[in-house]
Amino acid sequence: MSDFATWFGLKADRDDFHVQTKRDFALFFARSSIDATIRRSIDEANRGRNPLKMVLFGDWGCGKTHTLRHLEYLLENTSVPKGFPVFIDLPDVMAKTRFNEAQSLLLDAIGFEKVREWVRQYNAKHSNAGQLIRDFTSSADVEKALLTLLGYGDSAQIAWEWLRGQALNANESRAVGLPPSLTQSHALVSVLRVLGIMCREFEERMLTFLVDEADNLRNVTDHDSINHWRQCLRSLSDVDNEECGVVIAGGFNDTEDMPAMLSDEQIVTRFGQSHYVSLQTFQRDEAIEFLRCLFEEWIDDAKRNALISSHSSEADGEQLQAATFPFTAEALSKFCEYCCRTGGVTRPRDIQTDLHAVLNHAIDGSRHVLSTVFLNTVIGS
Amino acid sequence: MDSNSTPALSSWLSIHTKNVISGFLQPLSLHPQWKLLYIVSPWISLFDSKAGLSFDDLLHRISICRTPTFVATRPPEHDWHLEAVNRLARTNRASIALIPGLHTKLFCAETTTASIAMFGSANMTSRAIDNIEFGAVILGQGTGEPICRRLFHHAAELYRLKNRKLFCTGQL
Repeated sequence: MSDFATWFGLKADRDDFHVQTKRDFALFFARSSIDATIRRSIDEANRGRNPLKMVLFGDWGCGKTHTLRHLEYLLENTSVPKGFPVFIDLPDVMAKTRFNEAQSLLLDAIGFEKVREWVRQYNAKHSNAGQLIRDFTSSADVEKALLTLLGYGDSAQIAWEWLRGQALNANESRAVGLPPSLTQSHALVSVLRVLGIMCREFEERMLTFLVDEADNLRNVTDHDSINHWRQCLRSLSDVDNEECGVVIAGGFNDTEDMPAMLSDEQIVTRFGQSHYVSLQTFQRDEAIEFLRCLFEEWIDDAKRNALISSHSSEADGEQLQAATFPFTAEALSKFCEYCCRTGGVTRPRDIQTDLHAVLNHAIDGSRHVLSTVFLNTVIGS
Repeated sequence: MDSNSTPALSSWLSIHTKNVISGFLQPLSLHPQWKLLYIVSPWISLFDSKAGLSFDDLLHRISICRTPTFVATRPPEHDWHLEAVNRLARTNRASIALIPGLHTKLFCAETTTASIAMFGSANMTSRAIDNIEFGAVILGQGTGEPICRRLFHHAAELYRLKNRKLFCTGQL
């Protein structure tokens, strides 16, 4: 088999030119202005000890998930102090799905044992822990549920389910002395916020929830359910919430394209217009920068040099540099024009798809180097 | 619900057991702009619109979208297979690799708004429309995204298998 990795001299851990969001989160090509915006927002949040609140949006394939993973990387690795990011994909929600669905995923992502440990430490540190929780959350039930996590057996698990926003049956409810479910938006969010307090006290990090695939919120059509999401998001994005951050990413073209709970004026005001970050498509020069960065990161230096020296004749007399290999400089420019053929703009995903196709053609044509002469033969009219 | 499919198991996964090819072609037909297509199918024949898109319409869409199409199939031994391969070649966008003994059935498409992949037992033939087959359709979103990516990579590997003979190369 003539695979991409061998043919184009990729590094040992690469098998093609696709950027993988879960693995390549540290890399952020050709998006210097958005990178700067995100870093500045993190710095501002840390300076003011206010949690990060942001909405990332853009067309399908423009790199939302990658940007969210990059933000997660920055929070975990470069932020001072470091953040405590909790990443979830919003699942398939239904017309009547409420915020409880997100609540359960967020708590699962933190983990039962981690939350129990935080509560244990909080209880050990503060002699009036219960009172503090009750005062902050305005809920004796939330206090009871959190402290029940410290117990053994079924009670702790039942309390956990309740905090996750899941309904309890009558026996479970009676066993732990809690109402059948945690439904009030204020109470749900207060659980997240009190966990933010504990995270800051015992991890010395800011708890920040990263929610991807917010497009799915479009499926919520029931009026009461939309309102429930709206109330919860309003509480999370409010300036009063100094305990936990929230960053939401979705495939929306603009704010008018967003589901009601994100485009609501009160939500937009709370996040702040400047914290609605649009991931723009690339123009030709950005496409070139993206590909140069990709080649530099993906191709092994020694293998590249060996391929350049043994296949330089395939450059057809054009300038062949390490920075543009496997393209000649002229061919890279021409290829990026091709990538931007639909209106002069393109998305990272489009570039990778076109690259995949043209490199397939190069292998079919026994080419390790792509010149404009070669591109002219494969790019049809 | 489509009677040929189970209820979608999630937003990114559905299972099909009858007219399996329609599980791939029908959603693909709804996307206006196709960017890349892989057809890995030991046998290929003409088929009608019961498959979600007729073979003629498939070729038409490949042509008008100028979709780089990579096909891996067995060397044709029957006229119906050769006809389908020739017609794909005439779109001028299809690169076709002939691979003796090919067994995998895998179909991947990238459009401007979605990635779709299907693997299972069904060839891209008219007979597969009526056969009881199996096909898992993966959409490249959420959890399905890395799986779809992997299937694209696998399709590319199959297209470039060492024992292939290139029947034709198309244009971008």
